[in-house]
Amino acid sequence: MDPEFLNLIGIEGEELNKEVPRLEKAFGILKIVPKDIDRAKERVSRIFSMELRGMRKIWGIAVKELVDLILAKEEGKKVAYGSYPPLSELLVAGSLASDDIYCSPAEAVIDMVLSPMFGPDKVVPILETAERHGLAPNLAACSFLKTRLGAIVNGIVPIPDLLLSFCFLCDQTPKTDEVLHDLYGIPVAYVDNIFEDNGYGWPEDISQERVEYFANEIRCCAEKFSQVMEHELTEEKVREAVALNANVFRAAADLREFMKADPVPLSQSDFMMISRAVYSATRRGSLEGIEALAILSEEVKKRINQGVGPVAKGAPRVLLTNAPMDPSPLVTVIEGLGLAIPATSLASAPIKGTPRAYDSIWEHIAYTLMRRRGAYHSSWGWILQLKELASVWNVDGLIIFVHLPCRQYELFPLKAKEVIEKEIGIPVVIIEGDFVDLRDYNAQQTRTRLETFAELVKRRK
Amino acid sequence: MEMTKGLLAHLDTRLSELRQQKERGTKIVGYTPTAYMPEELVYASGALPIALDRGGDIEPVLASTSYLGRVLDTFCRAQIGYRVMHQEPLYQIPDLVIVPVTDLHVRGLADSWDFFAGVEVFRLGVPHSKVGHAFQHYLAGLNLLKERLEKLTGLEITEKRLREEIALSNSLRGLLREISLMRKSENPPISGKEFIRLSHDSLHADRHVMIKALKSLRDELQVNKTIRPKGARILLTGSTLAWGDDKVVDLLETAGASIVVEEFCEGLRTYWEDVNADDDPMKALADSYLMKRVPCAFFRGSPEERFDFLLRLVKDFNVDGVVWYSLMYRETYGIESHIFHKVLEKTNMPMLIVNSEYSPAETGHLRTRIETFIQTIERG
Repeated sequence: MDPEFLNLIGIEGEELNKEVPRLEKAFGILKIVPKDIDRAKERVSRIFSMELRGMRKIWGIAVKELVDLILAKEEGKKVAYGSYPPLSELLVAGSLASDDIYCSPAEAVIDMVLSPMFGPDKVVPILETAERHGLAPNLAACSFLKTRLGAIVNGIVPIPDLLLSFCFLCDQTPKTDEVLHDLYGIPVAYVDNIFEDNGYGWPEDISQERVEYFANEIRCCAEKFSQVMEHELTEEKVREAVALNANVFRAAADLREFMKADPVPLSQSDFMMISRAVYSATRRGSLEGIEALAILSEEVKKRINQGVGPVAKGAPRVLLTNAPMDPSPLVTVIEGLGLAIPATSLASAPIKGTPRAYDSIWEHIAYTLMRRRGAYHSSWGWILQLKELASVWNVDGLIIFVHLPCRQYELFPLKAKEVIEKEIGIPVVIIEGDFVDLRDYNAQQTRTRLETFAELVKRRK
Repeated sequence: MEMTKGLLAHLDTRLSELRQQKERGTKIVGYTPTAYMPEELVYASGALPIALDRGGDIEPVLASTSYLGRVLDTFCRAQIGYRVMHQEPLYQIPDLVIVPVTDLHVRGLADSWDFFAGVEVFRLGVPHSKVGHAFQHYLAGLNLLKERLEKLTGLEITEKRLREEIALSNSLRGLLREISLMRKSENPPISGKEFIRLSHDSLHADRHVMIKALKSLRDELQVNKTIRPKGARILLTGSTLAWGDDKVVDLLETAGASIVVEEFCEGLRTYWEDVNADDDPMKALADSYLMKRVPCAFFRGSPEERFDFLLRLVKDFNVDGVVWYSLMYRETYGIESHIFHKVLEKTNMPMLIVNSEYSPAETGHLRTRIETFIQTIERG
């Protein structure tokens, strides 16, 4: 294995003996050849701040998690895949339930590495396989789910013992899992929610009926996990996971506070990779994330003191809702146009009101999710949260990235644009694309729209 | 058919009749026909329910792009278009709109009306399974709807009144079912298009008029021995067959097919099961509308129950081929069609999957595919 590559992903010292053979085996299954490694070195160094040790640790977490996923069955583990976006508390609890269990949102683990590291064409064969198995071609079905289905069918990742179908935000997830059930007979545990609120009262007004319904769904899923995976997911274990998850969340939030500096000390390409690696509800992210974040924190402080950042001091600042796994089609373009991106919609904003306290861990998780994220509550909740974030981060513009095949993103952007332009008084642009599938990506069209937007933002600042 | 004259005359004046009733203080309640909104509750409140089920036109779909993203179900996008374009008068009169939120597409419909239509939207939560807590949640939603309707009309929905409305709706369902089942015969006495029209009419007409018309039609069909040309017997299934969305039905019948049964949200599911109001009528509504109905594709883990039901229809109606008609971007039906195709392959039952975005441009290729499919069946 190329030592330069190993250094780039922060695998060093005693880890080398253990991880290199595993890495070689997993990359063999992925059909990663030396030419791919050369490409990865060039891409990752160009797009991310790989001079930071913390960033290399972050990449190490992501790559090692991918290796854990690919080799899970071979290493004798029982395997469960949650879907993305994950129900983190349950997945973390699942992944920590036993050393004999592998549990993660498989599609996120694959997509966070393959596309940004080796290039978007590396995922195309996976997407094409899914399209031959019932998921509509191009932008009509979610590319994350195509990864979930295609990677299993192509034999890149093992056939799991259980699918955890987190369909509380998505109707495509359970249908994709039905295809997998049909193909391989894999049992499926669903976690559903019902979007019956108009959202005008979010976050204070969250109906207890909805909390109870969602909580029951989460509890039933945990019970099915215990039954199929033969390791009981007790309330206590889930509480431990909730606490661990909260620690990681806090550490990432602390790091995010540094993004308020001027110039912004990290590219949003870095920050998104950090977020995905440490809180995509994986075992590695949960256990190794805090150390990596601590290293990064120190390095970022130095950057702030030195006034170093990806864009010039005083650059206009924009909020970006989300972006493709490979930052080059969007984040790199935005920053290249001289706009700083201090935050995305994953950033936390103060939430009004005092949270309710629940004795039941299931109700606690259900309530917290709907309260913490407007998107988990209603379309209007999404809009309110974006409004709040735009104010808190004091941005000069908002870029709503629409992951086209995601139906959630089809509901709120036009109203959000109207409300935020009118009430916050900043320009809003809607950019369509895909988190993973870049086959239909039109670089020139995206660039032209962003150039116009950047000019507008700069003129108004 | 004699009965249709009376019904057509009633429907011709239905809009002006509704307007007059509205002027006299009766509340008009629009609803999305996803098969999960018990119209009995609306009637029992003294309001009049009207299905907002128009579809098939491209202009409202195009108009919707100012309000919703484009990768959403065609029917759901069209709904806000009909409202803002003032193209469909029925869409202008509701005092309240009830949207049973079944999936993200219908949620988009609710959001777009909520954000842009200037009329109150009541979202009725529809769980995606039939487990115990799902039943309880749906029942709680029905109770909230009951309260909202009582507030709207100022009338209490009494148990007695609700039972009466359930009985009346059961009569209507029973008649539609009886007529539909007549199509099991070798020589169906009513065409698919005629039955679909009746099914849509039942969502707009006064129930007393409709029941009278259906009784008369049933009696007529029982003695009518008109021999229709024999064509391939088709089960037409999918997500939504809207009022006015006749393209695929017309193409099938023009190609010589006989649609003997259709399974859609606003069709068969609404009349297949009666509401058994022997117990608490609210619980009976929840039981009938959620637990007893054939699940839609958005249900989690739905294929088994849905496919069993569809296979039963194939057998009972002596079907020669299945046409799966999905609207663009309704992914739950799209993915399910892939699985069902494999199920049917095992039984050598031909199946054609067609999609529509209500575009006139798609008619040519749809015609070619449908004609070829029917010819293939007829040649054995």
